[in-house]
Amino acid sequence: MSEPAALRNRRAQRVRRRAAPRSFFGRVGMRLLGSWGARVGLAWVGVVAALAIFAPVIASSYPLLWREPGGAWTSPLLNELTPTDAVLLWLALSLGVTAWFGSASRPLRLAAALASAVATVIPAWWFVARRSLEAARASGDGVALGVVTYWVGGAVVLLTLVALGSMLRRHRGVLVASVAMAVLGAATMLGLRIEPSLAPVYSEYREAVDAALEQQKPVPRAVWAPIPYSPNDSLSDRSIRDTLAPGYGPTQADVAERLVRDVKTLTDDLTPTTDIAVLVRGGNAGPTEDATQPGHAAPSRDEAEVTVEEVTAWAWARADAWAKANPRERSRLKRLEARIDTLASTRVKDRLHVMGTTVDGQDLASRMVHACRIALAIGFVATGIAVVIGVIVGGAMGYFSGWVDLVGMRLVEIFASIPTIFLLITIVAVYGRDLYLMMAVIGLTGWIGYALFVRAEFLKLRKAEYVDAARAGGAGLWRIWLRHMLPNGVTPLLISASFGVASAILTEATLSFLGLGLVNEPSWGQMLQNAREGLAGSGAWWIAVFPILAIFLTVFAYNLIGEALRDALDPKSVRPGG
Amino acid sequence: MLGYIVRRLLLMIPTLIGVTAVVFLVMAYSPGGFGGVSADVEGNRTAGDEARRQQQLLKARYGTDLPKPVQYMRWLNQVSPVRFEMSADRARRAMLADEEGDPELVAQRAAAERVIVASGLAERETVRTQLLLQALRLSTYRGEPAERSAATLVALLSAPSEALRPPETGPDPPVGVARDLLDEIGADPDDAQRSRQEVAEAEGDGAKRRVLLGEIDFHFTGLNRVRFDRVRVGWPDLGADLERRPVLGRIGDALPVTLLLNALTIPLIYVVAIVFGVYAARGKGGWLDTGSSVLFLALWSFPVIGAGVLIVSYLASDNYLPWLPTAGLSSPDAADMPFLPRWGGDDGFVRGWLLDRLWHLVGPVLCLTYGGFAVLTKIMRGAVLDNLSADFARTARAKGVAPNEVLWRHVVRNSLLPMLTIVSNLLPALLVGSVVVERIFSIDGMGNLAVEAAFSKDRELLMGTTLIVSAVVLLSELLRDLLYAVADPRVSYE
Repeated sequence: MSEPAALRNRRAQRVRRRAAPRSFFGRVGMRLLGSWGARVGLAWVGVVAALAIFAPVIASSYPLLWREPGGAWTSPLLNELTPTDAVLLWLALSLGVTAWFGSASRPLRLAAALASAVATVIPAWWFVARRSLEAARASGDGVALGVVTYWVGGAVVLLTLVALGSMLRRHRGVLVASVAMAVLGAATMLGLRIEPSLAPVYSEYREAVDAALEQQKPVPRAVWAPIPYSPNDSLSDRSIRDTLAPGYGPTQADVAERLVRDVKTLTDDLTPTTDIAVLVRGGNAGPTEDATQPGHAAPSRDEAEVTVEEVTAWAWARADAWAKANPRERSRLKRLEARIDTLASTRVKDRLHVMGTTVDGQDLASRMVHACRIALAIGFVATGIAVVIGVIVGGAMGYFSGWVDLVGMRLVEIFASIPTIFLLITIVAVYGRDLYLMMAVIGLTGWIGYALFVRAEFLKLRKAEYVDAARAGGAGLWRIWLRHMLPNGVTPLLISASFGVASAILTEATLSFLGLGLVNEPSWGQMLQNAREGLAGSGAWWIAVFPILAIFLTVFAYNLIGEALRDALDPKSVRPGG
Repeated sequence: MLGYIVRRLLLMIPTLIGVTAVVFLVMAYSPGGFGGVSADVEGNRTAGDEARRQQQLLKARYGTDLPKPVQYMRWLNQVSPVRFEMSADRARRAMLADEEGDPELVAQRAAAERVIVASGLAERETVRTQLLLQALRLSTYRGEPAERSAATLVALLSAPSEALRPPETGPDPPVGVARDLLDEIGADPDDAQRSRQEVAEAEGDGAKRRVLLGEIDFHFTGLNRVRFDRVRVGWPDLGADLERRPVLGRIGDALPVTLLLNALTIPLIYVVAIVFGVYAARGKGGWLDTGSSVLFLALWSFPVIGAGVLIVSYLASDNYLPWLPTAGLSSPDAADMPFLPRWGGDDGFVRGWLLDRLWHLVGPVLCLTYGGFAVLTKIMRGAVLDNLSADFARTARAKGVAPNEVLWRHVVRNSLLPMLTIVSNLLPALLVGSVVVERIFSIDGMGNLAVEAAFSKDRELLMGTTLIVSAVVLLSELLRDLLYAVADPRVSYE
């Protein structure tokens, strides 16, 4: 393909420009990428972001592709996507397309990015508006909300289109291409008719496969997600599901342990089990009261290695003995027999739980992947809110000085001496569990640092000559602030925003840990809260360790980026050749 | 200096008012308001007798039917050291009139007491005291002689229950007064009738009567009238929580625990930070510098909740390593222990109260400490680096002082100054940590108290903890500035 001469010229120009000294931010970016800490941090944040965006495709109980024998291919997974999932996926895909334009000219890239924005906004608005209108009609008292969503959302869409048009007036071809892309994307998404079920039956497709296998019929063909379990799928179709260790499960030892435990509970046997092997092989000798010395751990289950057959035989013997002793308790005996039957017929090691399962039998890996979303969203949105408030309040304080500064400083002082965590706990406990509320509250209580930074910078800059010049030239307040002053005072904001994201993630984890987090959606802190039960009962280390690791790595990544940014922006730390 | 301290203390007042106003209004305008049982999380009003009753109690107690800013002003008045007297205060004063020697009050009290004794309703002393207090309260509330209020009260309590219903015909005077009183209390006539009936049934039962009288007392507190003609000076009154325990007492129990945790944590953080900061600066770019900065950054990023859970389940568990206690600040039998550890005697080594307490503090202090190293070490390192290249250090080296001496005697001492400024930043952060740590290790400190207050929407408890914690934070800032002036002779606030 031959390039037009103009394009070739422009490319040559760009190559020449690249060799020239870069802009301030360009240099900071290069220096940032030069430090290994920032590279590690950015890489991890990228991994978390990818997991967050593609979570519904990575971990779901619904097969990605599915065909009943003789039927057509369908995609249950795509049908179950929520509007948020769909929008995120589409955004990621179209940004990927934008990146593919990487070597194109700047307006082309801008157009592609804007097009993907439009393509995202239109269906998002459509879903939300339609849903809230429907909900408003159904409930009757939310009409105002529905109407507001509809019109405000519509206005946003319109504005984006106008912006797109005005920016691309000069590049008509590009405009046509990107609008076509946007329309195509929106049409595809609307055509998908995304309607997630309100009460999902996660085991539906698993059971279909199982049933076909059992009846020796042709098995439906399915392509599963890498982690074939949804975060809230508690494996209700399985006889053994709670606290399975990472790896292929359940093991022989798992089955043996649950058999012994359940038989004991159902026969009112309250003696503690110290060693299953001794208990089962020792016949009716009963549990040995071996006084475990402190520091002398009980022999692990693997050493004993009791087979399922052995335990089943023991269980039936126990059940018979108990039935003879309690001839009247027919219903309980029936339950006991049913339980032994199901457990004895459990298929051993028939599924893979990469990180084990939780106390409620949910796949931990799936929950971990889906929890990335909350961590990422909380970090960015809460910090974003805090930065915006900080810039406005701090900017006003620094720019106007005088009594605005005086009042502002009192406000800052008040918010600085409120014990933030108390306020957070209070608000979340009082107003209920809601992700957006939590973001807003974390943002609303965290702006003081940013405000002080901006105030200090603006106090310095307000008398600068170029600001005077801008004012004399008739520039508006926002223009002076955002175009002239803020870019010169933004560096300390960047550093502390990076640490702010880390601390917002920690705050969310802490609130969830205190029991104030979301109920239905998994978050790392909430998983950690559940882990306390698991750890106390059966030593299920994985339930605690993986969420802790995730929180730690993510917070560490943001802190590494923050440190690297600080070094990159610090004039004192510039090393020769750096 | 004294003038500066006074000025700073005075400046704290508007800040504290702002802090409490924010928290108060956030709570007051929340769905359900204070005393959260009246509404669940979604804001649905819970139906039923119990909820209505609870709401009435709250209305009477906090005046929840008043505009919210007025409610806040009343709370402020109650807390302020210089305040307008409330009618309940005056009643309390009247009860103690003998000690204060106010002849008028003594006379009023005696008259009221005579009426109550004459009625024969209060044969037991406790009931008599309660009744007397009610009468005095009522009298200050309505601004009438205590004698008349006592008569009203007696009439109210001895009136037949049906007489309390709104009558068609005009009632005889005492019953009419009693009904007026019930109206004023704002009690639902049915409710009021039920409790009167109970009073009537419990005629001979002293204990039950006392409980019922306590309920009436509950109604009266909300009718505390602000008397703008009387200004009183006294200790702040933080009120009582929903279970009627004094808030000041609860904070008095909890605050020392949290302060103890912080008092152990802060020096520990400083020692580690100073040592590592100095050595990291001395070997700048070396393995200790890089290693400690990465390690501390990692520790800083490690969630306290994670550390707490791991410590409780692995280091304080019978299944793994039973090295640490699982919960609390002392063993159940700590009260019987001797203070200091003791060897010998009949049962060999006795741990003693002190060691027991320290043993219980290991886990919480560990959790609070490790996250603080990063920031402080970085500041110390930076300060030492700056000072190492400062003129005075070069001069010292030039005149032949040994390098170690220059480092420790000249540079380090000057580098400690910026570390002082960080104390006040550290304290709020530690308070956040202590909420979590106290929760995990079941320690009854300020953090747990605040969480309890927020969950139960307990107005007095929440406002009390907020006020005290903010005051502690503000005072620590003042202390920081004073220390700064003491440490650096160049700083002066005159």
